[in-house]
Amino acid sequence: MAIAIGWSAGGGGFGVAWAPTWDLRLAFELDGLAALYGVLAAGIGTLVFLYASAYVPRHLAHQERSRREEARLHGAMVLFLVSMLGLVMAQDLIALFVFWDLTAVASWLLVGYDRHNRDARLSALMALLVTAVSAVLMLVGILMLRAEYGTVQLPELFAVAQESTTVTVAVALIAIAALAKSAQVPFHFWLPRAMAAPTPVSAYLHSAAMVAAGVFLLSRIHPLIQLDARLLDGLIVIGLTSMAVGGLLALGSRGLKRILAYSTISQYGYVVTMLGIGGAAGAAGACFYVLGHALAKSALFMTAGAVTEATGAKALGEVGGLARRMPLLAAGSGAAAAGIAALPLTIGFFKDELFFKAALDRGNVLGALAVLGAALTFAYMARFWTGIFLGAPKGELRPVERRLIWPVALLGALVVVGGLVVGPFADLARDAAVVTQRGAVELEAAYHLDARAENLMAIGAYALGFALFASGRLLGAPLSVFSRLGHDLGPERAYNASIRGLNRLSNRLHDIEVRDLRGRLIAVVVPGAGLVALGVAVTPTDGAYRTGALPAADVPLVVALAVCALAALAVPFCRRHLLIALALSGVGFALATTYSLMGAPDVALVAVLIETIFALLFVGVFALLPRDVLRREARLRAPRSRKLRDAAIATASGVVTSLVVWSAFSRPVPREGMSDRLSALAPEAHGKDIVTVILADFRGLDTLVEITVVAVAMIAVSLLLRGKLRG
Amino acid sequence: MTGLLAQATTKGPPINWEALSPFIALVAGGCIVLLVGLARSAFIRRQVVPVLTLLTLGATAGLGVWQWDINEGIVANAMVVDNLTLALTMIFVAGGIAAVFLSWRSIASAEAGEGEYYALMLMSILGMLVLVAANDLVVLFIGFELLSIPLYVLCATHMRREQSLESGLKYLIIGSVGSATLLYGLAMLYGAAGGTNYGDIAAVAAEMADDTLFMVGIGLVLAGLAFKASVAPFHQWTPDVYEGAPTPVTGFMAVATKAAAFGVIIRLFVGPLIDATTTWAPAFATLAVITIIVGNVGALGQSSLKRMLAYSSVAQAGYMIAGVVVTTQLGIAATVFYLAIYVVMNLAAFAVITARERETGLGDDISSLYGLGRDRPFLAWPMTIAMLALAGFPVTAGFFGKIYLINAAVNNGYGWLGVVIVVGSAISLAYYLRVVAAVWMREAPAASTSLSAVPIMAGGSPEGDEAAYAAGREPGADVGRVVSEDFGEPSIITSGPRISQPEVIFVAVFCALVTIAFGVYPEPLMDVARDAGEALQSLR
Repeated sequence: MAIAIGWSAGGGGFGVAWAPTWDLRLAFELDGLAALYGVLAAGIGTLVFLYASAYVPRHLAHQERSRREEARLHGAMVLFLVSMLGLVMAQDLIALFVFWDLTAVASWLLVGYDRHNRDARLSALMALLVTAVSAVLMLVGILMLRAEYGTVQLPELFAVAQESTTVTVAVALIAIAALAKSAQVPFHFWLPRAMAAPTPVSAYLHSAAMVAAGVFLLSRIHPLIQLDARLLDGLIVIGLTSMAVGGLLALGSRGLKRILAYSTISQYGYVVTMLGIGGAAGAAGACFYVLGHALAKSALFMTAGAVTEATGAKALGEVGGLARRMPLLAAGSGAAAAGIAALPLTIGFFKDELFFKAALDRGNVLGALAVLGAALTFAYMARFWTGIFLGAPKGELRPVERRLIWPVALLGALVVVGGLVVGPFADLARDAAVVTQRGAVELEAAYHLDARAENLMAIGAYALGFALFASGRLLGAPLSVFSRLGHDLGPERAYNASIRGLNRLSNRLHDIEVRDLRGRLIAVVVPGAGLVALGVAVTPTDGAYRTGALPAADVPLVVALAVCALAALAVPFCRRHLLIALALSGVGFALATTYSLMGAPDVALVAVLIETIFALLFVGVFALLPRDVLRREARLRAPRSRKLRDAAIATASGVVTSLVVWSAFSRPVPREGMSDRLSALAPEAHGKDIVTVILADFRGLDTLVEITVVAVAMIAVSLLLRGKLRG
Repeated sequence: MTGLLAQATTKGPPINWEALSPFIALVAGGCIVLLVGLARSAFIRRQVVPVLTLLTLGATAGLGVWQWDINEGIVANAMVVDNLTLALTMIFVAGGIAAVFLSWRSIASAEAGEGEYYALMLMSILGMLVLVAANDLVVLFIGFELLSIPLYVLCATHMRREQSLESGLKYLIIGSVGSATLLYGLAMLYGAAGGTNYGDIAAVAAEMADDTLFMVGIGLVLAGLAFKASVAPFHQWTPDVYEGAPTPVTGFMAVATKAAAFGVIIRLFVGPLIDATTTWAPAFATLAVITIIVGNVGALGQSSLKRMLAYSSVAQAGYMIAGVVVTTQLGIAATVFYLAIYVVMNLAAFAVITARERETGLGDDISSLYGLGRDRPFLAWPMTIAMLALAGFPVTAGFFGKIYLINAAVNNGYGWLGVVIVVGSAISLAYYLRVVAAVWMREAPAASTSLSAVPIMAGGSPEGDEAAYAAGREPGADVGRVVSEDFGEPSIITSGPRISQPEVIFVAVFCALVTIAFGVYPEPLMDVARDAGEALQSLR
């Protein structure tokens, strides 16, 4: 209510700096568009809350759940309402995204409300995944716009945006998110599944709020969409496809809520088509359509819930003849159904008039398709309402609270009032369209008793729709084939397949990774070696590998290296453990010789020491191990494949290492090394050479550490001795 | 003589004690904690030692704040203390403080000896600090080992649990291979550049960009550091070690080590190797893609929460690489921002896991969270917030972290990497939400599971433990009984007995609140991150 007053007072807005580093502002403005969607979300929300206060206790009682859980539903609904209001008023794309995702989270909680029910949980997850995954595309789009223009404030963006590929791609990404939220083909499959939600949730989210958010976003960024005609055409194609697919599926299904879900897909297809048509007519039509549809559709969802509560029936065919027994419900939902089917004297009539008018502006083909779509709508709405309320009475009737009935009646009355006094409704829609269009919009909604094209089209649609409805039985078989085809080949299958595929991939990865320690070491070494090989491979070979002359003085070096290589080659061919150990230490000693020849006697000494110790250790260990074990081990033969693999790995690593060493030796010595600089500093520290200086510098520290070590060792020894003596 | 002395003082290298003070605080604190840990009194060991550890960490953080905005090379330019170092110090300290709270009653610290346990933790933090402050290859390696070796030991501190020992051993062996790879690479860089100081390397980086030795060095260093940062395909130790290590240690390792690894990657690659960007950036970006895919896909099938978080940490490492490869100040700021919030998001989750491990005996299995939403709001909400934040949902800091990174990527021609991040986080929804669903949409398991529950906790009371030690028994072995006496019949318990562990719940709730606070108003953290990014002045 406050929103309506605020809007009539001319709107207004406020903004506070949010993250100045990022130039983010929490800017909100109650403009016409925000008013339209805000009034819908808050108004219908209020009625749904009333309805839910009667429905949810019954729902919980059916499932033998505690009454305490009622609060959870209401809490999530309030969260949803608040984020929806934030969403419609946000003028900053990042803030808008924040609320966008919050609605997704709230919807996840609401759809998954029956948490013991696996189907409900999966449906909730599906709804969330489809909407939230597409939402990240939207985020990329927003950030692309930011990278291009340096702002995410919508008014500034509208002012500076030019047609360019970046903008087109960015806007397309945002539009994909919007279409997924509005359950348009090919993202429509989540909506029927989401019918696992309790009925009040469907009545709210899936008629007036959640799915409306998608077309809201399209309207909000329409000035950017208009920059590229391809985007507009894309919207028309998707809209028309959704109209057809939704309509056909609605005509072919039996579940009460499913029919309504498919109908929602189809109805938002109209809106998307009109947004694609663009221009003043399209904008006005889209805004008015959302208004008319939301009122009627939430009434119908509530009807479905009330019928299910009263009779236990959840599908057409299980119920009938309720018109006599529940007249108020029948009247209310009749008005709502007439509204959707666009009969005269309801608000729905004007929504179709505007639609026809916008479609005709774009040509006769579109006009014809529009009539076909409207005919489908008429047919499934007629089937829905007559199926429930006419025919032979079936089943027991349980008493239901009046709060389950009169929200329907109230909304039905609103639909009729809108058909008689269309002024205020049209004003609301027109102001919204002005925002979308960023210019003046004429919205003329009145009855004209003449043979203008729109009237003829409407009559044509009724006639065709009635024909479709009357031939319902004939159509049953092809429609069920269509629905099965959609199920088998449609996007839902792709969704399931990708989820399953990911799970399989995850298991595969798990199997690959969970292995022995050797496997893990390989996992470090092999990619590391890969990086090295890559480094070698991308190096330009020009001048990197040079060969110099071989002076006579280097002959001993070559001999030592040759011995080293021979010893290394011998290792894999030895079978006895002792021989392997000896060959390995041969490699080590040959290397030590090389070091000493290269002028590094200290390194050589260390190497000799280490090699000696390890050779002795090996010999000692082998002496201690049982002889027969060693002999048996030595006789074991590795499989041929492993031998080949090992040989290949060894060769490859040998080649790469040689290349690295070769190229390292080929390059000039750095101009001035650290050692040169340190040596140059020696006189400043009053030393003759750098070694003396280092020794002098560290002598004190060295002594201190030595004393500490000795002291600690003594303490430890004394403690041990004391313990020993005592024990 | 006096003249000589005077000359010596003037000639002595200037030592900036103020800038060194955070390091000194950690060393001193570590020594004190180790010594106090020798005390016989259980009160001193159990209560005073953790408090001393907290004081040390607090002092380190305080000194870091005091030194904010200095930008100096210290110790003969072997280390640099600037806003990047200090910002990362805050992250390590935060991780350390949370780890102390989580370890307060853990059996691991009791078994290893409190003094040693907390001293090792402090030394590891010192290693991280040295690592990110390093301005010299030798210091880098010292920091690397000082960080790693205490962690190897900490992983194995839950000595009577086989997995803990296994995890420590595995980490040691695989970690040594990683260290060796790094060392090899450092040696090659030294060989190519002729100096170990970053300045020497920076001087030659441009002309060396296509030198084999230099490239191979970069490749090996990349592998070694990628290992520490759990970047695929060098991540394979992560799930095992995370799962096996005591949960407080895992939490500490997950957040602090990651921050340290990224700190040094930024320092080295976006520092002296900046002129060789064309050499390493493509390789790193490729690793980022592999990491994001492997991490997210790997996490899908895990039922162990710690394994799941391990893979998730792999994936998050992949996101953060994006901030490094773009080599802009914005990228560094994004990485630092992400690291900071990564700490709080993960610690909230690890705190909840710790709490439930002690209560249910289901370990870190996802079923330990069933029914939490109804009974334990102070555990359920932090877990939910942590998961939503990791998934990047709005109103949590994770959202800003992710858009910061994507923005940095998009702004510098890595738009495709931004798309990979987006695809990765789309996949990640599936496993993060599974946890949220377990918290809110599942009923607590039947009483039978909690009947056999043996909470993993060092006894209900210190006295009980002392008695157990005195009797030569393992404390905690009979804890199931102690707890069930304290908390009524287990048969009526639906989701595990409640154990008084306010400090763990405090960590969970506090981290969750911080996550939300920065999600609603990220400005202060963005300021810090921007300062840290501006520390690298050579960048745009």
